[in-house]
Amino acid sequence: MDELLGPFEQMLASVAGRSVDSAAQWKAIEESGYLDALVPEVSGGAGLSLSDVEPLIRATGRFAIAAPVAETMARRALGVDILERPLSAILAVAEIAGLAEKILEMSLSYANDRVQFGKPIGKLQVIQQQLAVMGEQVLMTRMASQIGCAQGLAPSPEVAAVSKQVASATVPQIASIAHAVHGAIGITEEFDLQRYTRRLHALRLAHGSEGYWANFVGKARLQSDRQSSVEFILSLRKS
Amino acid sequence: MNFDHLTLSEIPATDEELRPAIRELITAHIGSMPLHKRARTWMGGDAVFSRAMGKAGFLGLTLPRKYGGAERGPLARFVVVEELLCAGAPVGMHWIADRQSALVILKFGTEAQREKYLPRICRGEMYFCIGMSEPGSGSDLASVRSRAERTENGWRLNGQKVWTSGAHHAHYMIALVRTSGEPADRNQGLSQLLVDLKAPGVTIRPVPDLNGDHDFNEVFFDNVELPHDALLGEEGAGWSQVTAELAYERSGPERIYSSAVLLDAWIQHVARQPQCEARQRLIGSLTAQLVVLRELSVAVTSRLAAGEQPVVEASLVKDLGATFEQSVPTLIADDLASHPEESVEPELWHAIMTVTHIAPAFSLRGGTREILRGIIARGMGLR
Repeated sequence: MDELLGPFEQMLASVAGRSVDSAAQWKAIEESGYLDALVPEVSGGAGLSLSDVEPLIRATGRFAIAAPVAETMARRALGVDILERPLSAILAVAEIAGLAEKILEMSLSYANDRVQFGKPIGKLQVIQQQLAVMGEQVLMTRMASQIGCAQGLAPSPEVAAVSKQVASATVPQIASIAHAVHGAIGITEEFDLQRYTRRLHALRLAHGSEGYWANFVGKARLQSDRQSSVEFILSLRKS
Repeated sequence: MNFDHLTLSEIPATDEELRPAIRELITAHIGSMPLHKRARTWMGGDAVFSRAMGKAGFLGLTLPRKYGGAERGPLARFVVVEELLCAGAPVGMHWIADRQSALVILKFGTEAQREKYLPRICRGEMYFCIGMSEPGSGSDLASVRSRAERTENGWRLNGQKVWTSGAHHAHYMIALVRTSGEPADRNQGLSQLLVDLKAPGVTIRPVPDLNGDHDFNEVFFDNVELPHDALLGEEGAGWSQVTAELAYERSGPERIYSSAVLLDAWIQHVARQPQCEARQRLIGSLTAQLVVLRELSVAVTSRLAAGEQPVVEASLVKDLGATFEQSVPTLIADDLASHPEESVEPELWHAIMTVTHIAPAFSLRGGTREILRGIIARGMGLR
């Protein structure tokens, strides 16, 4: 996986940033060949599964790439112009997971560096507790992303719903803790945090927010003849 | 801490195959058990059920066959425990022994100790309790003051434990005690002892909880004479052994399913009512969270199965799980009381109030929320 991810990250790093020319960025992404990652080998692609590609989509999140990288990969593999909502939602979740990782990393590093009261604020229990909560939410989005991507390019709508519901629900908490830890510098145009949190808020709402998908899951569960939580969970996995 | 270690994991088909048999056993035994009893999940116990589980081969699933175990992996136990918890089966008698005491004895005990305890644990006949907390030693576990001194015949134990779940049913306690040095030495000089709770000098007193249930006890040791082989593992290595024990204690599916019986009963109630979007959303958001938490719990169990000690990962999942479990009775109660026109079975209300009252325990037992978050913060690299 690392031989796949490493060069991809290098390419993204070379075209990421706030002053990037979007046409040049897209050209570099296109020329890298990665947009054919999900295309079957017989059709000249890399023939990878969505689970294989999940770390790449997360990487686009970590670099706050606004270009539709994952969507283009999926459209090319399926040979369609418009993706179904469940798949679009899952691709957004993988990107949310990458953004969340990056925002956590920035917040941890800021907490270790920023000195107040004569010590790094990361030594204060009240900050540690908040960052622990953020870590937990990041872990939830990561697992939501893996659960969604394991469904491949024709996901069960119920599983997509679970994945996007949970990922979208983590967003307000992750963003608010990150901004609380960073203080006023975090809400400036100049400081990089806003590039990630603004995109995070947008993806929370893209292809259905947590409320939209909660309703979907709830309806599915009420209509299901699976009585217990464990039976419902197991029925999702088989679909 | 690298989240890469916690990835979506598959439960092997051979472990999944255990479900029909455990479901059959559960159905046969819980029959008419009222909802408020089942809603206590792993806090309620029944020795008849524990022995039936032992007979059917569902205890000691990860222990070697020569001690009566099934020599399977932790994921087999996950499958069985998941079914038990979601049904609200009365597992409380054997719970601690099967979850952690047996594993600690297998890992740190002598051959003679393994032969003495493990087969009886696997038969569902011998129960254990955890001897960690003391009146002056809650989250600050290294400050334990109970002390055992070497004697000619073994050990003489004095001190007190508290919040000891199930001590009144248990045959043995694995107690963390000081065997050398002073409380100021912190985690140095601590050892684990297997304490026979029938030994002279042991007094067990109930500490009823706010529901009137008898789960907690205080346990006093007054010059309790214990044999040489009461020492479990290495003298002075108690702290590292107890850390290993806590990884077993914090990682299981009971950290996400404590309110599952209640959740399911409420969903069945809602399914009989007219369609309501607000309710669908609530059911959907709780269900979605549970699905993801469950996969995280499977992922932690897979790390254990791979022979790792996922201390930070288990803390993350336990804190997430406890927060979820605690939200369930609060949200459900509000929902039902928002529909005063509906007829709600008294049993459901009884169960909701029982779980509401005891829910604070979910983020106390096995390590408080605040302690876990400290472990997580350090694990993530805060200096």
